[in-house]
Amino acid sequence: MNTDDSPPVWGGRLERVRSFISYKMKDIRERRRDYLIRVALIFATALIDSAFFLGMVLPDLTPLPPVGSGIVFMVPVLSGLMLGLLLTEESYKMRAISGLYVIIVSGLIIFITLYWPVISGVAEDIGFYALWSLKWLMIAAIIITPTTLMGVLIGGSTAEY
Amino acid sequence: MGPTTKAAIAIYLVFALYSGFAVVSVAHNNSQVIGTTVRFSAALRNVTVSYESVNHPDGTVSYGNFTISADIVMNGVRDPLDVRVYDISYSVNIMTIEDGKPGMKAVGSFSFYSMSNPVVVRAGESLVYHTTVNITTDYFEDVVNTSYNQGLRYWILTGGLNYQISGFENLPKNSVTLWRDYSDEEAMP
Repeated sequence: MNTDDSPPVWGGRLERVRSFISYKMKDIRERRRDYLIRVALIFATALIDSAFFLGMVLPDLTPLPPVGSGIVFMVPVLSGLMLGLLLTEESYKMRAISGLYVIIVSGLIIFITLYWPVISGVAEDIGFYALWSLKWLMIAAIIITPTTLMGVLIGGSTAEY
Repeated sequence: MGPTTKAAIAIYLVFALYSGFAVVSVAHNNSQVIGTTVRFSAALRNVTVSYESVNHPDGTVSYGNFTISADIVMNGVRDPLDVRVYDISYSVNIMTIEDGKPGMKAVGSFSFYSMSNPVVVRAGESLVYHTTVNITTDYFEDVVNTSYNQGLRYWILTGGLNYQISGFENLPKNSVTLWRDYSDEEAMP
């Protein structure tokens, strides 16, 4: 029978609530950390892919060393491989989805960078730049999509193994 | 997540940071105005009006020539970094002969030269007007005392009016690439 002087029972409930909250908070922190790492890796891979692709399109304007067509094909494979390896705690499905995010973010970065003269108000021929940027965006999609997915899946398989 | 994975992620993110710097550099350089392009310029140059009279002492040859000649010069510059100037000169001479035989002679010439220095103007400067006027006169008598040239006198008035309007267009850096792709197809803008 509970009386007013029954701290063990009350204390036990409090401890359980505390431990439950602590467990949940830890779970949320870990999830948030994993989410942030995944987002950071996706953006990092997209930046690497787009930087080397832009280095091929505009070789005079980039600080990167000269980029050939072979490097442009190899970089998404290698960066996707790294992404697949580093997403150690993710499933195959999440790795593939991360690869798709990389492709989308890469395309956005490439298009915005090529279209930047219009955005910054320097270029006046908007239609010409839009077509020019779209042309390179299509080429980037053709190059980056299969190579990134292949790299991510190979990296994921290697990590699982 | 082990320490090796953490280290690999850190190295990967540092490399991505450098790639991000490369992307920002491309975007920044892409929006920098470095070059200008002269689209078209035309000049009327070396307008020459001359009168030539020949009077032979024995009267067998006596005529005068009235000549107008001018060079029409058109320049087209295509590329901000590799400036090429197309100089087309066309000279027209019209002669009248006093002995009742009017005639006309047209002489055309084409010349091409290239300049290696880029034309650079400040941003916002859109047109450049360049005007030059030259007038020279010459009078001389032919001192060669042959039977044909005796009494040959020339009055030559040479005037030059060069009026050049050049259009400039501010171009982003990557326009160099665009224009290079385009410039191989046509000779003039």
